[in-house]
Amino acid sequence: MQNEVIKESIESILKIRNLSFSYTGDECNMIFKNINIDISENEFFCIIGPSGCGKTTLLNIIAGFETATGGSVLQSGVEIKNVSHERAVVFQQDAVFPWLTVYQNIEYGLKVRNIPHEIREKRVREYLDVVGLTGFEDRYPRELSGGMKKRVDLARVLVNDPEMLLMDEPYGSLDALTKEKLQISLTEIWEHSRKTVVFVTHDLEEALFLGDRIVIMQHIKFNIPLRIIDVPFKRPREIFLKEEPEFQRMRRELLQEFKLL
Amino acid sequence: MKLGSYKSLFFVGVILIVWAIITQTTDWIQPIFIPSPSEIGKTVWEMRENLPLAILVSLGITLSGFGIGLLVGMAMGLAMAYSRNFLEMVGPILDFTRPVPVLALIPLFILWFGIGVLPQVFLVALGVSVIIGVETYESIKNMPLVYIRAASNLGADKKTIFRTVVVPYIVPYLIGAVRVAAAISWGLDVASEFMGAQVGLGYIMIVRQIYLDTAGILAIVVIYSTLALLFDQLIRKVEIRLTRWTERSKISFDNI
Ligand SMILES: Nc1ncnc2c1ncn2[C@@H]1O[C@H](COP(=O)(O)OP(=O)(O)OP(=O)(O)O)[C@@H](O)[C@H]1O
Ligand SMILES: [Mg+2]
Repeated sequence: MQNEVIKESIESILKIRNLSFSYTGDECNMIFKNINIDISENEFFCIIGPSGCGKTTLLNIIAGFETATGGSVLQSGVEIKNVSHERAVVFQQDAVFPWLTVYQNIEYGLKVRNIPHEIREKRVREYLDVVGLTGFEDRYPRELSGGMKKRVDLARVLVNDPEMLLMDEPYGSLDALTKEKLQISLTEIWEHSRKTVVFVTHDLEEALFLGDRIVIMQHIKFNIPLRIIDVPFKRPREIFLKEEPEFQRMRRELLQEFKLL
Repeated sequence: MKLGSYKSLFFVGVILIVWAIITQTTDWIQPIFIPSPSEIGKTVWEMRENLPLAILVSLGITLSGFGIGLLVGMAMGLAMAYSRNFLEMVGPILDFTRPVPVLALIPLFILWFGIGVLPQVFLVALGVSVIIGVETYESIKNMPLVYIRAASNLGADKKTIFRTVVVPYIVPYLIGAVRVAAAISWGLDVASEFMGAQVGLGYIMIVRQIYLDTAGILAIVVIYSTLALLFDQLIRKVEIRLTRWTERSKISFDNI
Protein backbone atom coordinates (compact mmCIF):
# COMPACT_ATOMS: atom_id res chain seq x y z
CA MET A 1 0.00 0.00 0.00
CA GLN A 2 2.68 2.44 1.05
CA ASN A 3 4.63 1.50 -2.03
CA GLU A 4 1.76 2.26 -4.34
CA VAL A 5 1.31 5.74 -2.99
CA ILE A 6 4.96 6.50 -3.64
CA LYS A 7 4.74 5.04 -7.09
CA GLU A 8 1.72 7.17 -7.80
CA SER A 9 3.51 10.32 -6.75
CA ILE A 10 6.47 9.77 -9.05
CA GLU A 11 4.18 8.77 -11.87
CA SER A 12 4.69 11.20 -14.73
CA ILE A 13 2.19 13.99 -14.83
CA LEU A 14 2.74 14.66 -18.52
CA LYS A 15 3.12 11.89 -21.05
CA ILE A 16 3.92 12.76 -24.63
CA ARG A 17 3.15 9.73 -26.76
CA ASN A 18 4.23 9.29 -30.40
CA LEU A 19 3.53 12.93 -30.97
CA SER A 20 3.71 14.21 -34.54
CA PHE A 21 2.75 17.57 -35.85
CA SER A 22 2.43 19.36 -39.15
CA TYR A 23 0.88 22.78 -39.67
CA THR A 24 -0.48 21.74 -43.04
CA GLY A 25 -1.68 18.36 -41.85
CA ASP A 26 0.28 16.36 -44.42
CA GLU A 27 3.12 13.91 -43.94
CA CYS A 28 5.88 15.71 -45.79
CA ASN A 29 5.68 18.95 -43.81
CA MET A 30 6.16 17.42 -40.38
CA ILE A 31 7.65 19.73 -37.77
CA PHE A 32 8.41 16.71 -35.59
CA LYS A 33 7.57 13.04 -35.59
CA ASN A 34 6.99 10.37 -32.94
CA ILE A 35 8.14 12.29 -29.94
CA ASN A 36 7.97 10.45 -26.60
CA ILE A 37 8.69 12.25 -23.36
CA ASP A 38 7.59 11.65 -19.79
CA ILE A 39 7.68 14.55 -17.39
CA SER A 40 7.17 13.86 -13.72
CA GLU A 41 5.38 15.91 -11.17
CA ASN A 42 7.43 18.70 -9.56
CA GLU A 43 10.04 18.43 -12.23
CA PHE A 44 11.78 21.36 -13.88
CA PHE A 45 12.01 20.09 -17.42
CA CYS A 46 13.88 22.01 -20.10
CA ILE A 47 13.47 21.75 -23.84
CA ILE A 48 16.43 23.03 -25.78
CA GLY A 49 17.12 23.17 -29.48
CA PRO A 50 17.99 25.45 -32.37
CA SER A 51 15.60 28.03 -33.75
CA GLY A 52 12.84 26.53 -35.84
CA CYS A 53 13.11 22.98 -34.53
CA GLY A 54 9.58 23.08 -33.15
CA LYS A 55 9.90 23.96 -29.48
CA THR A 56 7.11 26.51 -29.48
CA THR A 57 4.96 24.18 -31.54
CA LEU A 58 5.45 21.39 -29.00
CA LEU A 59 4.61 23.71 -26.13
CA ASN A 60 1.51 24.95 -27.96
CA ILE A 61 0.28 21.38 -28.26
CA ILE A 62 0.87 20.75 -24.56
CA ALA A 63 -0.96 23.99 -23.77
CA GLY A 64 -3.86 22.92 -25.99
CA PHE A 65 -3.56 25.70 -28.56
CA GLU A 66 -2.75 23.29 -31.38
CA THR A 67 -4.04 19.80 -32.00
CA ALA A 68 -1.59 16.98 -32.59
CA THR A 69 -1.45 15.54 -36.10
CA GLY A 70 -0.57 12.15 -34.63
CA GLY A 71 -0.13 10.77 -31.13
CA SER A 72 -1.24 12.48 -27.97
CA VAL A 73 -0.29 14.32 -24.82
CA LEU A 74 -1.72 13.06 -21.55
CA GLN A 75 -1.94 15.07 -18.37
CA SER A 76 -2.42 12.80 -15.36
CA GLY A 77 -3.64 10.16 -17.76
CA VAL A 78 -6.20 12.34 -19.53
CA GLU A 79 -5.65 13.43 -23.10
CA ILE A 80 -5.20 17.19 -23.45
CA LYS A 81 -7.80 18.63 -25.78
CA ASN A 82 -8.51 22.10 -24.46
CA VAL A 83 -6.72 25.10 -23.13
CA SER A 84 -6.70 25.20 -19.34
CA HIS A 85 -5.47 27.63 -16.73
CA GLU A 86 -3.97 24.60 -14.97
CA ARG A 87 -1.32 24.55 -17.70
CA ALA A 88 -0.25 28.15 -17.54
CA VAL A 89 1.76 29.53 -20.44
CA VAL A 90 4.40 32.24 -20.34
CA PHE A 91 4.72 33.19 -23.98
CA GLN A 92 7.81 33.82 -26.07
CA GLN A 93 6.33 37.12 -27.23
CA ASP A 94 5.29 39.92 -24.97
CA ALA A 95 1.78 38.90 -23.92
CA VAL A 96 1.11 41.29 -21.05
CA PHE A 97 -2.09 43.18 -21.83
CA PRO A 98 -0.98 46.74 -22.57
CA TRP A 99 -4.42 48.19 -21.81
CA LEU A 100 -4.38 46.93 -18.22
CA THR A 101 -2.18 48.13 -15.38
CA VAL A 102 0.27 45.79 -13.70
CA TYR A 103 -2.26 45.10 -10.96
CA GLN A 104 -5.10 44.45 -13.40
CA ASN A 105 -2.90 42.16 -15.49
CA ILE A 106 -2.03 40.00 -12.51
CA GLU A 107 -5.63 40.05 -11.36
CA TYR A 108 -6.98 39.04 -14.78
CA GLY A 109 -7.07 35.26 -14.39
CA LEU A 110 -8.68 35.40 -10.95
CA LYS A 111 -11.21 37.92 -12.14
CA VAL A 112 -12.38 36.03 -15.21
CA ARG A 113 -12.78 32.95 -13.07
CA ASN A 114 -14.96 34.90 -10.64
CA ILE A 115 -12.75 34.55 -7.60
CA PRO A 116 -14.16 36.80 -4.85
CA HIS A 117 -12.73 40.25 -4.60
CA GLU A 118 -11.06 39.93 -1.16
CA ILE A 119 -9.18 36.76 -2.13
CA ARG A 120 -8.17 38.37 -5.40
CA GLU A 121 -6.72 41.41 -3.75
CA LYS A 122 -4.77 39.33 -1.25
CA ARG A 123 -3.31 37.03 -3.87
CA VAL A 124 -2.42 39.81 -6.30
CA ARG A 125 -0.58 41.67 -3.54
CA GLU A 126 1.20 38.46 -2.59
CA TYR A 127 2.44 37.81 -6.10
CA LEU A 128 3.32 41.43 -6.76
CA ASP A 129 5.67 40.91 -3.87
CA VAL A 130 6.93 37.53 -5.09
CA VAL A 131 8.08 39.02 -8.40
CA GLY A 132 9.23 42.24 -6.76
CA LEU A 133 6.81 44.63 -8.42
CA THR A 134 5.16 46.10 -5.35
CA GLY A 135 4.94 49.83 -5.94
CA PHE A 136 4.43 49.43 -9.67
CA GLU A 137 0.86 48.16 -9.54
CA ASP A 138 -0.67 51.21 -11.21
CA ARG A 139 1.80 51.41 -14.07
CA TYR A 140 0.84 50.53 -17.60
CA PRO A 141 3.10 47.99 -19.35
CA ARG A 142 4.50 50.65 -21.67
CA GLU A 143 6.04 52.24 -18.59
CA LEU A 144 7.93 49.05 -17.69
CA SER A 145 11.22 47.58 -18.80
CA GLY A 146 11.34 44.31 -20.72
CA GLY A 147 12.39 42.39 -17.63
CA MET A 148 9.61 43.89 -15.55
CA LYS A 149 7.05 42.90 -18.17
CA LYS A 150 8.28 39.33 -18.00
CA ARG A 151 7.84 39.42 -14.24
CA VAL A 152 4.29 40.65 -14.67
CA ASP A 153 3.73 37.79 -17.08
CA LEU A 154 5.06 35.29 -14.55
CA ALA A 155 3.03 36.73 -11.68
CA ARG A 156 -0.07 36.72 -13.88
CA VAL A 157 0.11 32.95 -14.24
CA LEU A 158 1.49 32.09 -10.79
CA VAL A 159 -1.35 33.88 -9.06
CA ASN A 160 -3.77 31.28 -10.48
CA ASP A 161 -1.83 28.50 -8.75
CA PRO A 162 -1.68 26.36 -11.90
CA GLU A 163 -0.72 22.71 -11.87
CA MET A 164 2.14 23.31 -14.26
CA LEU A 165 3.98 26.11 -15.98
CA LEU A 166 4.81 26.11 -19.67
CA MET A 167 7.45 28.73 -20.30
CA ASP A 168 8.56 29.54 -23.83
CA GLU A 169 11.96 31.24 -23.91
CA PRO A 170 10.68 33.75 -21.38
CA TYR A 171 14.04 35.46 -21.05
CA GLY A 172 15.22 35.06 -24.63
CA SER A 173 14.93 38.74 -25.44
CA LEU A 174 16.60 40.12 -22.33
CA ASP A 175 20.13 41.27 -21.66
CA ALA A 176 22.48 38.91 -19.82
CA LEU A 177 22.30 40.68 -16.48
CA THR A 178 18.52 40.95 -16.32
CA LYS A 179 18.27 37.39 -17.52
CA GLU A 180 20.48 36.15 -14.73
CA LYS A 181 18.47 38.04 -12.13
CA LEU A 182 15.24 36.57 -13.38
CA GLN A 183 16.75 33.08 -13.49
CA ILE A 184 17.75 33.40 -9.85
CA SER A 185 14.33 34.65 -8.86
CA LEU A 186 12.68 31.86 -10.88
CA THR A 187 14.72 29.16 -9.10
CA GLU A 188 13.74 30.68 -5.78
CA ILE A 189 10.08 30.79 -6.70
CA TRP A 190 10.26 27.28 -8.06
CA GLU A 191 12.01 25.84 -5.04
CA HIS A 192 9.29 27.36 -2.96
CA SER A 193 6.34 26.03 -4.95
CA ARG A 194 7.83 23.01 -6.74
CA LYS A 195 5.44 23.19 -9.63
CA THR A 196 6.04 21.14 -12.71
CA VAL A 197 7.73 23.40 -15.23
CA VAL A 198 8.32 22.83 -18.92
CA PHE A 199 10.83 25.44 -19.91
CA VAL A 200 11.83 26.10 -23.50
CA THR A 201 15.14 27.79 -24.19
CA HIS A 202 17.94 27.82 -26.70
CA ASP A 203 20.45 28.76 -24.05
CA LEU A 204 22.25 25.69 -22.74
CA GLU A 205 23.63 27.50 -19.72
CA GLU A 206 20.12 28.54 -18.74
CA ALA A 207 18.85 24.98 -19.12
CA LEU A 208 21.70 23.55 -17.02
CA PHE A 209 21.22 26.14 -14.31
CA LEU A 210 17.45 25.79 -14.05
CA GLY A 211 16.56 22.27 -15.09
CA ASP A 212 16.33 18.84 -13.54
CA ARG A 213 16.38 17.27 -16.96
CA ILE A 214 16.97 18.63 -20.44
CA VAL A 215 15.69 17.26 -23.70
CA ILE A 216 17.61 18.22 -26.79
CA MET A 217 15.48 18.65 -29.88
CA GLN A 218 16.94 18.89 -33.33
CA HIS A 219 15.49 19.90 -36.64
CA ILE A 220 13.53 16.99 -38.09
CA LYS A 221 15.65 16.89 -41.23
CA PHE A 222 18.70 15.65 -39.26
CA ASN A 223 16.66 12.72 -38.03
CA ILE A 224 18.41 12.65 -34.64
CA PRO A 225 16.49 10.90 -31.87
CA LEU A 226 15.68 12.99 -28.79
CA ARG A 227 18.22 12.82 -26.05
CA ILE A 228 17.36 13.46 -22.46
CA ILE A 229 20.05 14.59 -20.07
CA ASP A 230 19.91 14.46 -16.29
CA VAL A 231 21.26 17.57 -14.65
CA PRO A 232 23.24 16.40 -11.60
CA PHE A 233 23.53 19.67 -9.68
CA LYS A 234 22.10 19.87 -6.18
CA ARG A 235 19.44 22.30 -5.11
CA PRO A 236 19.06 24.97 -3.97
CA ARG A 237 21.25 26.34 -6.72
CA GLU A 238 23.20 29.53 -6.45
CA ILE A 239 24.26 31.65 -9.37
CA PHE A 240 27.93 30.73 -8.70
CA LEU A 241 27.06 27.28 -9.93
CA LYS A 242 27.57 28.63 -13.42
CA GLU A 243 31.29 29.08 -12.66
CA GLU A 244 31.86 25.64 -11.18
CA PRO A 245 34.25 23.49 -13.26
CA GLU A 246 31.71 20.68 -13.35
CA PHE A 247 29.06 22.98 -14.79
CA GLN A 248 31.44 24.39 -17.38
CA ARG A 249 32.65 20.94 -18.37
CA MET A 250 29.14 19.67 -18.89
CA ARG A 251 28.21 22.71 -20.89
CA ARG A 252 31.24 22.37 -23.14
CA GLU A 253 30.70 18.68 -23.74
CA LEU A 254 27.08 19.16 -24.65
CA LEU A 255 27.88 22.07 -26.91
CA GLN A 256 30.40 20.02 -28.78
CA GLU A 257 28.11 17.09 -28.99
CA PHE A 258 25.18 18.99 -30.39
CA LYS A 259 26.76 22.05 -31.94
CA LEU A 260 24.29 24.12 -30.01
CA LEU A 261 24.68 27.81 -29.75
CA MET B 1 -3.37 70.13 -34.99
CA LYS B 2 -4.46 71.60 -31.73
CA LEU B 3 -7.29 74.09 -31.81
CA GLY B 4 -5.76 76.48 -29.36
CA SER B 5 -2.19 76.38 -30.58
CA TYR B 6 -0.65 79.70 -31.53
CA LYS B 7 0.73 78.36 -34.76
CA SER B 8 -2.65 77.31 -36.08
CA LEU B 9 -4.37 80.48 -34.88
CA PHE B 10 -1.67 82.52 -36.57
CA PHE B 11 -2.13 80.56 -39.79
CA VAL B 12 -5.91 80.97 -39.78
CA GLY B 13 -5.49 84.67 -39.04
CA VAL B 14 -3.17 85.16 -42.00
CA ILE B 15 -5.60 83.44 -44.34
CA LEU B 16 -8.51 85.56 -43.07
CA ILE B 17 -6.58 88.78 -43.50
CA VAL B 18 -5.43 87.90 -47.01
CA TRP B 19 -8.97 86.90 -47.87
CA ALA B 20 -10.41 90.13 -46.49
CA ILE B 21 -7.84 92.28 -48.28
CA ILE B 22 -8.34 90.58 -51.62
CA THR B 23 -12.15 90.61 -51.53
CA GLN B 24 -12.57 94.07 -50.08
CA THR B 25 -9.84 96.14 -51.71
CA THR B 26 -9.56 94.50 -55.10
CA ASP B 27 -12.06 93.37 -57.69
CA TRP B 28 -10.17 90.23 -58.69
CA ILE B 29 -12.95 88.00 -57.40
CA GLN B 30 -16.64 88.75 -57.76
CA PRO B 31 -18.62 88.57 -54.50
CA ILE B 32 -21.00 86.05 -56.09
CA PHE B 33 -18.14 83.55 -56.12
CA ILE B 34 -16.32 84.45 -52.93
CA PRO B 35 -17.79 87.18 -50.75
CA SER B 36 -15.71 88.96 -48.15
CA PRO B 37 -15.52 87.69 -44.57
CA SER B 38 -17.50 90.69 -43.32
CA GLU B 39 -20.26 89.92 -45.81
CA ILE B 40 -20.52 86.43 -44.37
CA GLY B 41 -20.57 87.81 -40.86
CA LYS B 42 -23.39 90.13 -41.86
CA THR B 43 -25.40 87.26 -43.32
CA VAL B 44 -24.98 85.21 -40.16
CA TRP B 45 -26.30 88.17 -38.20
CA GLU B 46 -29.30 88.42 -40.50
CA MET B 47 -30.06 84.75 -40.06
CA ARG B 48 -29.73 84.90 -36.28
CA GLU B 49 -33.38 84.14 -35.63
CA ASN B 50 -33.57 80.99 -37.72
CA LEU B 51 -30.13 79.70 -36.87
CA PRO B 52 -30.54 78.24 -33.36
CA LEU B 53 -33.34 75.90 -34.38
CA ALA B 54 -31.59 74.97 -37.64
CA ILE B 55 -28.39 74.19 -35.77
CA LEU B 56 -30.28 72.17 -33.20
CA VAL B 57 -32.08 70.11 -35.83
CA SER B 58 -28.96 69.42 -37.89
CA LEU B 59 -26.95 68.67 -34.79
CA GLY B 60 -29.66 66.29 -33.64
CA ILE B 61 -29.77 64.44 -36.94
CA THR B 62 -26.00 64.19 -37.25
CA LEU B 63 -25.27 63.18 -33.69
CA SER B 64 -28.05 60.64 -33.35
CA GLY B 65 -27.24 59.18 -36.77
CA PHE B 66 -23.58 59.06 -35.85
CA GLY B 67 -24.29 57.49 -32.45
CA ILE B 68 -26.59 54.84 -33.83
CA GLY B 69 -24.21 54.12 -36.69
CA LEU B 70 -21.29 53.79 -34.31
CA LEU B 71 -23.10 51.32 -32.07
CA VAL B 72 -24.56 49.29 -34.93
CA GLY B 73 -21.24 49.27 -36.79
CA MET B 74 -19.28 48.08 -33.77
CA ALA B 75 -21.90 45.47 -33.00
CA MET B 76 -21.77 44.20 -36.59
CA GLY B 77 -17.97 44.09 -36.65
CA LEU B 78 -17.82 42.30 -33.31
CA ALA B 79 -20.54 39.87 -34.30
CA MET B 80 -18.76 39.04 -37.56
CA ALA B 81 -15.58 38.27 -35.64
CA TYR B 82 -17.47 36.42 -32.90
CA SER B 83 -19.58 34.10 -34.95
CA ARG B 84 -18.48 32.39 -38.12
CA ASN B 85 -22.12 31.79 -39.01
CA PHE B 86 -22.92 35.47 -38.77
CA LEU B 87 -19.87 36.31 -40.86
CA GLU B 88 -20.80 33.86 -43.56
CA MET B 89 -24.33 35.22 -43.57
CA VAL B 90 -23.63 38.94 -43.46
CA GLY B 91 -20.08 39.23 -44.80
CA PRO B 92 -20.83 38.68 -48.49
CA ILE B 93 -23.86 40.97 -48.38
CA LEU B 94 -21.71 43.65 -46.82
CA ASP B 95 -19.00 43.14 -49.42
CA PHE B 96 -21.53 43.63 -52.19
CA THR B 97 -23.27 46.62 -50.71
CA ARG B 98 -20.25 48.42 -49.33
CA PRO B 99 -19.15 49.98 -52.64
CA VAL B 100 -22.66 51.38 -53.18
CA PRO B 101 -22.43 55.06 -52.27
CA VAL B 102 -24.89 55.81 -49.51
CA LEU B 103 -25.86 59.04 -51.24
CA ALA B 104 -27.05 57.10 -54.27
CA LEU B 105 -29.69 55.61 -52.02
CA ILE B 106 -31.38 58.93 -51.34
CA PRO B 107 -34.09 58.55 -54.01
CA LEU B 108 -34.85 55.08 -52.68
CA PHE B 109 -34.93 56.37 -49.13
CA ILE B 110 -37.48 58.99 -50.07
CA LEU B 111 -39.50 56.32 -51.81
CA TRP B 112 -39.34 53.88 -48.94
CA PHE B 113 -39.43 56.04 -45.86
CA GLY B 114 -40.95 59.25 -47.13
CA ILE B 115 -39.58 62.52 -45.88
CA GLY B 116 -38.94 63.43 -42.27
CA VAL B 117 -36.35 63.23 -39.59
CA LEU B 118 -36.27 59.45 -39.29
CA PRO B 119 -34.99 58.63 -42.79
CA GLN B 120 -32.46 61.44 -42.37
CA VAL B 121 -31.08 59.93 -39.20
CA PHE B 122 -31.17 56.54 -40.84
CA LEU B 123 -29.10 57.75 -43.78
CA VAL B 124 -26.38 59.14 -41.52
CA ALA B 125 -26.44 55.99 -39.38
CA LEU B 126 -26.11 53.78 -42.43
CA GLY B 127 -23.09 55.63 -43.76
CA VAL B 128 -21.37 55.60 -40.37
CA SER B 129 -22.15 51.98 -39.53
CA VAL B 130 -20.62 50.67 -42.74
CA ILE B 131 -17.33 52.47 -42.09
CA ILE B 132 -17.21 51.44 -38.44
CA GLY B 133 -18.36 47.89 -39.09
CA VAL B 134 -15.64 47.16 -41.60
CA GLU B 135 -12.97 48.85 -39.53
CA THR B 136 -14.01 47.00 -36.37
CA TYR B 137 -13.85 43.65 -38.11
CA GLU B 138 -10.50 44.40 -39.74
CA SER B 139 -8.91 45.56 -36.49
CA ILE B 140 -10.00 42.38 -34.79
CA LYS B 141 -8.56 40.30 -37.59
CA ASN B 142 -5.24 42.11 -37.17
CA MET B 143 -5.02 41.44 -33.44
CA PRO B 144 -1.95 39.54 -32.26
CA LEU B 145 -3.06 35.98 -31.57
CA VAL B 146 -0.97 35.92 -28.42
CA TYR B 147 -3.41 38.16 -26.49
CA ILE B 148 -6.33 35.90 -27.30
CA ARG B 149 -4.33 32.84 -26.37
CA ALA B 150 -3.10 34.40 -23.15
CA ALA B 151 -6.63 35.34 -22.11
CA SER B 152 -7.99 31.93 -22.94
CA ASN B 153 -5.09 30.30 -21.11
CA LEU B 154 -5.85 32.39 -18.02
CA GLY B 155 -9.36 30.99 -17.96
CA ALA B 156 -11.46 33.47 -19.97
CA ASP B 157 -14.24 32.14 -22.17
CA LYS B 158 -15.05 33.53 -25.60
CA LYS B 159 -17.52 36.12 -24.42
CA THR B 160 -15.15 37.33 -21.73
CA ILE B 161 -12.28 37.50 -24.21
CA PHE B 162 -14.35 39.77 -26.44
CA ARG B 163 -15.30 42.00 -23.56
CA THR B 164 -11.93 42.21 -21.85
CA VAL B 165 -9.42 41.78 -24.66
CA VAL B 166 -10.87 42.39 -28.10
CA VAL B 167 -12.81 45.57 -27.34
CA PRO B 168 -10.08 47.36 -25.39
CA TYR B 169 -7.49 46.32 -27.95
CA ILE B 170 -9.34 47.68 -30.98
CA VAL B 171 -10.45 51.00 -29.51
CA PRO B 172 -7.27 52.91 -30.44
CA TYR B 173 -7.40 51.40 -33.92
CA LEU B 174 -11.00 52.51 -34.31
CA ILE B 175 -10.40 56.11 -33.32
CA GLY B 176 -9.17 57.01 -36.81
CA ALA B 177 -12.23 55.49 -38.42
CA VAL B 178 -14.50 57.13 -35.86
CA ARG B 179 -13.07 60.52 -36.69
CA VAL B 180 -13.47 59.92 -40.41
CA ALA B 181 -17.02 58.70 -39.85
CA ALA B 182 -17.80 61.75 -37.71
CA ALA B 183 -16.56 64.06 -40.45
CA ILE B 184 -18.55 62.20 -43.06
CA SER B 185 -21.69 62.24 -40.98
CA TRP B 186 -21.88 66.04 -41.35
CA GLY B 187 -21.80 65.61 -45.11
CA LEU B 188 -24.41 62.91 -44.85
CA ASP B 189 -26.53 65.28 -42.82
CA VAL B 190 -26.36 67.90 -45.56
CA ALA B 191 -27.31 65.28 -48.11
CA SER B 192 -30.10 63.97 -45.93
CA GLU B 193 -31.58 67.44 -45.65
CA PHE B 194 -31.76 67.50 -49.40
CA MET B 195 -34.42 64.83 -49.00
CA GLY B 196 -37.07 67.45 -48.48
CA ALA B 197 -36.30 68.80 -45.03
CA GLN B 198 -38.23 71.85 -43.86
CA VAL B 199 -35.78 73.03 -41.25
CA GLY B 200 -32.08 72.64 -40.59
CA LEU B 201 -28.75 73.98 -41.77
CA GLY B 202 -28.73 71.94 -44.96
CA TYR B 203 -32.22 73.17 -45.74
CA ILE B 204 -31.15 76.79 -45.32
CA MET B 205 -28.26 76.07 -47.65
CA ILE B 206 -30.60 74.82 -50.37
CA VAL B 207 -32.80 77.86 -50.05
CA ARG B 208 -29.80 80.20 -50.20
CA GLN B 209 -28.55 78.43 -53.26
CA ILE B 210 -31.80 79.10 -55.05
CA TYR B 211 -31.27 82.83 -54.42
CA LEU B 212 -27.62 82.62 -55.46
CA ASP B 213 -26.74 83.92 -52.00
CA THR B 214 -23.11 82.83 -51.85
CA ALA B 215 -22.49 84.57 -48.56
CA GLY B 216 -25.41 82.66 -47.05
CA ILE B 217 -24.12 79.33 -48.32
CA LEU B 218 -20.64 80.07 -47.07
CA ALA B 219 -22.04 81.15 -43.74
CA ILE B 220 -23.69 77.75 -43.37
CA VAL B 221 -20.49 76.04 -44.48
CA VAL B 222 -18.62 77.94 -41.80
CA ILE B 223 -21.17 76.88 -39.20
CA TYR B 224 -20.98 73.27 -40.32
CA SER B 225 -17.19 73.37 -40.19
CA THR B 226 -17.23 74.86 -36.72
CA LEU B 227 -19.61 72.19 -35.48
CA ALA B 228 -17.55 69.46 -37.13
CA LEU B 229 -14.36 70.87 -35.65
CA LEU B 230 -15.84 71.06 -32.17
CA PHE B 231 -17.15 67.54 -32.46
CA ASP B 232 -13.77 66.30 -33.61
CA GLN B 233 -12.16 67.97 -30.60
CA LEU B 234 -14.63 66.20 -28.37
CA ILE B 235 -13.78 62.84 -29.93
CA ARG B 236 -10.11 63.54 -29.34
CA LYS B 237 -10.77 64.30 -25.70
CA VAL B 238 -12.48 60.94 -25.40
CA GLU B 239 -9.67 59.32 -27.34
CA ILE B 240 -7.06 60.58 -24.90
CA ARG B 241 -9.04 59.07 -22.04
CA LEU B 242 -9.51 55.74 -23.78
CA THR B 243 -5.99 55.28 -25.08
CA ARG B 244 -3.88 56.28 -22.14
CA TRP B 245 -2.26 52.86 -22.29
CA THR B 246 -0.92 53.13 -25.83
CA GLU B 247 2.40 54.55 -26.89
CA ARG B 248 0.95 56.62 -29.69
CA SER B 249 0.85 59.88 -27.81
CA LYS B 250 4.59 59.60 -27.43
CA ILE B 251 5.47 58.94 -31.04
CA SER B 252 7.28 61.87 -32.55
CA PHE B 253 9.60 62.22 -35.51
CA ASP B 254 11.03 65.50 -34.33
CA ASN B 255 14.29 64.04 -33.07
CA ILE B 256 14.95 61.69 -35.94
N1 LIG C 1 1.61 29.14 -37.55
C1 LIG C 1 2.49 28.47 -38.31
N2 LIG C 1 2.15 28.06 -39.55
C2 LIG C 1 3.02 27.37 -40.31
N3 LIG C 1 4.27 27.06 -39.95
C3 LIG C 1 4.68 27.45 -38.73
C4 LIG C 1 3.81 28.18 -37.85
N4 LIG C 1 4.49 28.43 -36.71
C5 LIG C 1 5.72 27.90 -36.87
N5 LIG C 1 5.83 27.30 -38.08
C6 LIG C 1 7.02 26.58 -38.57
O1 LIG C 1 7.23 25.50 -37.70
C7 LIG C 1 8.62 25.35 -37.44
C8 LIG C 1 8.84 25.31 -35.95
O2 LIG C 1 8.47 26.56 -35.40
P1 LIG C 1 8.55 26.86 -33.86
O3 LIG C 1 8.00 28.22 -33.65
O4 LIG C 1 7.92 25.76 -33.11
O5 LIG C 1 10.12 26.85 -33.64
P2 LIG C 1 10.95 27.13 -32.31
O6 LIG C 1 11.76 25.93 -32.04
O7 LIG C 1 10.05 27.62 -31.23
O8 LIG C 1 11.92 28.29 -32.76
P3 LIG C 1 12.47 29.55 -31.95
O9 LIG C 1 13.57 29.08 -31.07
O10 LIG C 1 12.98 30.46 -33.00
O11 LIG C 1 11.33 30.13 -31.21
C9 LIG C 1 9.33 26.47 -38.14
O12 LIG C 1 9.92 25.94 -39.30
C10 LIG C 1 8.25 27.44 -38.52
O13 LIG C 1 8.52 27.98 -39.77
MG1 LIG D 1 9.77 29.43 -30.27
